[in-house]
Amino acid sequence: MKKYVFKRVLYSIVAILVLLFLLFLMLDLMPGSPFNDDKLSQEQIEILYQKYGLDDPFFVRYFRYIFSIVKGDFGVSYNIASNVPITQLLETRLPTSIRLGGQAVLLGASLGLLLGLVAALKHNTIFDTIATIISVLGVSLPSYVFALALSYTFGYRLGWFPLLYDSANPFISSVMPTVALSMFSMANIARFTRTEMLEVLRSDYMLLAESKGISGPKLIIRHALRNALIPIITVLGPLIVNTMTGSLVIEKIFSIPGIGELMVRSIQQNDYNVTIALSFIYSLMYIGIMLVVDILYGIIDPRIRLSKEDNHES
Amino acid sequence: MKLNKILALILAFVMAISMTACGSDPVDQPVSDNPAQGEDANKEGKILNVHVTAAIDSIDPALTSAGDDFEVIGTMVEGLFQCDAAGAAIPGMAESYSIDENGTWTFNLREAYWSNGDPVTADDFVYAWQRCFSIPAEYVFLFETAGIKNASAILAGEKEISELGVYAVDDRTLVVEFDVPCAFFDSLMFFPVFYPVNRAFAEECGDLYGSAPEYYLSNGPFVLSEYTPAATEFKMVKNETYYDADAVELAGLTYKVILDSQQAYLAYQNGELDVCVLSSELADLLSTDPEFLATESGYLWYMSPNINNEYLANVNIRKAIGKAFDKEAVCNNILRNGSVPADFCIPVGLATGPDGKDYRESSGLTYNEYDVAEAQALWAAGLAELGVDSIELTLIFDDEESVKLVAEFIQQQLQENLAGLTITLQPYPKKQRSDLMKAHDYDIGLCRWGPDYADPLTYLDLWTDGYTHNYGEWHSDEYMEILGKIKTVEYAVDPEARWELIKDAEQIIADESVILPVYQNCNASLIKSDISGIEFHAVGLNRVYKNVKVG
Repeated sequence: MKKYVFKRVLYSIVAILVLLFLLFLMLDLMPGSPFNDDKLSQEQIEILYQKYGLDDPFFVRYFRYIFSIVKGDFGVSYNIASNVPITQLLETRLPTSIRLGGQAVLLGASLGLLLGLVAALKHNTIFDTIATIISVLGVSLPSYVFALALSYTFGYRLGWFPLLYDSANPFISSVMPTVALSMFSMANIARFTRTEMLEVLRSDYMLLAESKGISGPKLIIRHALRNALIPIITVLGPLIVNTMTGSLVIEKIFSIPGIGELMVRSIQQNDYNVTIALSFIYSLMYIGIMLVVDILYGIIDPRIRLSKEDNHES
Repeated sequence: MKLNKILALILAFVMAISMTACGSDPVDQPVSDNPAQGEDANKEGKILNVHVTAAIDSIDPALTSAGDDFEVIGTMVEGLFQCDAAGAAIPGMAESYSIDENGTWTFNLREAYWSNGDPVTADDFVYAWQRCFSIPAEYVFLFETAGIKNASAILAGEKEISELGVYAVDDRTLVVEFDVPCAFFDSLMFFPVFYPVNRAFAEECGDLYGSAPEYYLSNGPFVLSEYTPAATEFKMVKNETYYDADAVELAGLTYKVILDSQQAYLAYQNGELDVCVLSSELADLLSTDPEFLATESGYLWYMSPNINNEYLANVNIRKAIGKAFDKEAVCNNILRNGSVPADFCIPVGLATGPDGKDYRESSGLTYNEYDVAEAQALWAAGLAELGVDSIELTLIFDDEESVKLVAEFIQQQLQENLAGLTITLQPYPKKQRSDLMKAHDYDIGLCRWGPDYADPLTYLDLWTDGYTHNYGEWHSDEYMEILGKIKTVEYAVDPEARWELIKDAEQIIADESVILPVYQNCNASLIKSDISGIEFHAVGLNRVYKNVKVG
């Protein structure tokens, strides 16, 4: 097991280094510069390049960047928040995005599980149909459609929730964004739960459990759901990351000071440092969560760990 | 069975909600439970909720070049002059001033204080101006435009920053010396790069200056109370230490950065916003709303013909192209945001002349008006002079939706109205389009220019020899001579004569069709009917809130 975890961690570190290099290279090849105001003279642009060390060769800049990242310094923003250290930009924004993503995942996962369970237990009834319709809608409609529909109904017509995010009232003003953001993961989890549950319910060991006289919630939760959960956890990992990073559109609509909105702007304005720092954080989240899922998977189902180790050795 | 009942209940609940949703009229909706409104009611005076469409890059006057940023800085800091509702310069930090025979300005500063209680001193101006050179500020070229002594030499690296022609004689006396006197120096002074910065405070803050309310000082009507860099919402409250605080009625301002215009409009209707900026789709939809307001921005969109092109070197060809498309249709059918057709090269609302009138009003010049018959005659004459019967040209433009629509419309109209003309459209990312035009490597380019200061020279300079933005490399000795004269001491002290020279210069641009103007951009907003006194400007500070009245 130790060997397995060690290997996974090592792979992750290599993946991050390769990724940083590719990011750096791609940004270097992008047209334009952070200082693309029409009114800047060539001399001024040169002074700014010197000031930020952008006139150094590619590899000098790359290694300098890697070393400063190791020290926790992501550099300063060039134009979207002139001269402000990126760590300061992230200080308030990262928690906001994580909070929103977290809320959405929590809501999406619990609602999704519930919906999937109902659909599976009431298989081929009207409940199943309704649950399926909801999850198909959730998967196929983009989140901004929900965001607009919620804004119009609950924000504008009914006036229950504010239309814009307000950092002084983070909970009440994050209700609509959370719901809109959770739709996709909810629908996905509902579909997965339904399929898995149906399979488990039809299996022999369920028949055995039932014939042993176990019934009701105990049968469902302990025997059916537990077995159905294993594959669900696997899809939950990428879903969490998707939800966290997918808040981009939602952040724009509800005017939420998160990192998604920052990412878009930094790309549009060639603010290299911000783009790299955010891509790095996104990748770190993705790789980190995948690592945890991988390890968890190994723990939950020893067969997988063993077969993987077999594969490596063969 | 139990589940059936629960489901029935949920269904009933959803239906009830959707029925209330359909039945209620948005106008009648009580907004009392809206948090923003509730907050207002608790405080004395009104907090104005203002919409901005892009995040603020910086509130440090030396670190930004964006129009919205200038507005925000101007709400908090005041320079030597401020602008009145019509855009003319009126004394701000300068209580009085005198100009001696050498053109040197001596300012007597009023007794004014920073929001931390420090007095505003002449040295704060010296520090702030020199700081623009050391950072360097994107707008530092304005010091050169102002003709301040040694500004050009410092920019060229020939002199030290400390040699800039600005001196603090004592705490309340500031002297500014010039290489070349500037006729519009007073109106330049309400540009943020010329604002004062408290030396002791800023030096103590270092790089943190302007990054949070505790690292920023106001000497203007409002003071920052909540702010983080690139924030989506930030707040200001009335500055009680402001010398003219009695005139300020608002208790404060909340800026909300909302990128999605639909959401902003809903928020406006819900009372979360008092001022809402409209996208062109919404502007078109809401143009009859009593709270709708279209204001001219100083941006002029025009087509620049490259004089190096063998066909475009012919003035009849240029004129024909400039007259052969319907500018009204561009504004009313495509842009639909209140933009106005431009038959001029210096926009409306840019500068007020010595006669107290807007330049456009006193000039009265129009050229290249849409006239198909005349365009066709000019076209035929041009073709005959060139000895050809067909011309192929490429029109380059920014790769943006609205620009693309305008370009397509112009292409279609030109090809329809001018027989033998083929226009190929070529979109580019903005930066690349601008680089191509600066390298004079194009036929016709659709582009825009925003004014840097409130004087026609900000446009007229564009067509002088060697200027980076003289894309088409047009040249005229007569024009250069007039522009040389406009900038001399003789005319700097004689504004009436200078104004006449400016008109002469514009006449040459019109006669030669140096640029083919398309439209002047407008900004459309909604403003709550109980709010009045927001001053809109085409140049410098977009919106000024000092004199806002409620009710």
